[in-house]
Amino acid sequence: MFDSLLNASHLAAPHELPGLIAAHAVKLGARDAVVYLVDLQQTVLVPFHGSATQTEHQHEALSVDSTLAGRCFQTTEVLIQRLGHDAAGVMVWIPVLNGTERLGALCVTVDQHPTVLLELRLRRLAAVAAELMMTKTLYGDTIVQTRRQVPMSLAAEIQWALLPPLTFACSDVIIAGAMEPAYTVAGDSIDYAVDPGCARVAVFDAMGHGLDSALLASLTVAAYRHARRGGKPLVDTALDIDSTVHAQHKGAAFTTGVLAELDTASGLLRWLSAGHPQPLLLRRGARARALLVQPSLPFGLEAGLGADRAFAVGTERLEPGDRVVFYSDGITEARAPDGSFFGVERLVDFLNRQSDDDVPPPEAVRRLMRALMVHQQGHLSDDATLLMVEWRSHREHVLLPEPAGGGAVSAV
Amino acid sequence: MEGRPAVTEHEVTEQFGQADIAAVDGGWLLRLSGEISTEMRPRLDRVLEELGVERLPVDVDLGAVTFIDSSGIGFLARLGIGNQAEVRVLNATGLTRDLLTLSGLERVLTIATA
Repeated sequence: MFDSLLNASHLAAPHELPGLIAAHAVKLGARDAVVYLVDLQQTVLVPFHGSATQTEHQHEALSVDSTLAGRCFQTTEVLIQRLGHDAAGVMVWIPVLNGTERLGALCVTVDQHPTVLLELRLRRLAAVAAELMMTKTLYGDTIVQTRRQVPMSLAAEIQWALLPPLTFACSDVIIAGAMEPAYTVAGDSIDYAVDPGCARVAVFDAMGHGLDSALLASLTVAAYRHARRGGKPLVDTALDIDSTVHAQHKGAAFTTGVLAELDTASGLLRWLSAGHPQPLLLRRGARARALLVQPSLPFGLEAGLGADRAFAVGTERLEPGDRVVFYSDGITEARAPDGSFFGVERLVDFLNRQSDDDVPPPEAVRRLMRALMVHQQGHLSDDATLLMVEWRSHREHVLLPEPAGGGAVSAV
Repeated sequence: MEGRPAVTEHEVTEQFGQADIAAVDGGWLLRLSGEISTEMRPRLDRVLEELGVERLPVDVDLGAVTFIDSSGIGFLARLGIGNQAEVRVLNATGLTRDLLTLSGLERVLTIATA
């Protein structure tokens, strides 16, 4: 059924994907197929047209917070929308997911409420579209450009190139991250790796502003990955990062950070802090608390202590469903115009409320960043970064649409 | 650079923050005040040089500091690492004190309780 699409994709440039997908939708009996891609801040869904040629219908970007398309994105459910009085058929919105990372939504129009078979085929089309978006992104700029709403600073260009996908889930962990201000971020970064029996995560804040800060963050993340991929244990990884930054900057620049590793079988979390805000443990029915460990000096400064340098490791046994939140000071120190800080308490309250409402981590983190922007009335003065890790909550299936044939919800 | 009015370094640093060194019994008292941020870096670098000449204890009074960022943390860390005698931080309160603690500065200097 999908052979012709997959065969054609071998010779397709990124900007040709919209045409391929629309043509294939027609074969399934669906018309006007458009893939909407979410922007970097996850606030709007932007139609991906690919080529410069105008389509018959000019589609507009749709708000994630206030449209049906946005609801499809937020809830990752297939939604059906009736057309206006004089038009026949219905629009079907299908989430476009790379694994569990929400890339956007596919919209098609069909003559009547889709059968289970048609719905299954449309879901498969959306799944193939997601894979193609991911694999073709690197061969051109049209996909990247579609996801940007405003020009990006050079520092942020460096930072986005460093980032892993900001959502991941498997049966052991759900990981969700976010970074603002998306178009001018400079020194903050996050990274993770999920491997057999272990999930490793890191959050960094490179000092300074602009390009210098981004270059330092880039060096820090590279040193982290280099040690991690070289099989170094937690403390040795920290020592490597520290030595690398110190060798380059001789104590004149540094990066704060928290490194952690989670034994995904036992739930044992080990972490260390290089002058960075300590992670938070959120557990249902318990008061949130900071995971405290004796902090070392930031990476690049601790090395100045010579033989005395050391990174203390904290340990905590997680319970299934626990969430650990790693963040930079830009989150808690985000200030409202009246001077009030966003603060740890508001952060914890917000995330607990989302959890009480069964909002899964990726959407909870998205909403948190929106709340943070609202708190600062749209203007973040410092980078704000957050990474949430949820261990064995068995909620990973919530990140996917309900099974077809009963999952599709009629709306409007 | 042409056409820019001449601004002395003193004026620039005063706008953001200030660093004054005084000799006290057997050591130095460094008073930092105002906003200690990137703009203060040249001044703080010179303070490190001045204090590094003699290996005496240093008290750093943060009582008049209204804001401190990574430049200030870096300065205090380098002072603590480099100084052969004790470095004490005085009058650090609230957010400033929290920041010093989470930055790991207690490894290289003493944060005096008020």
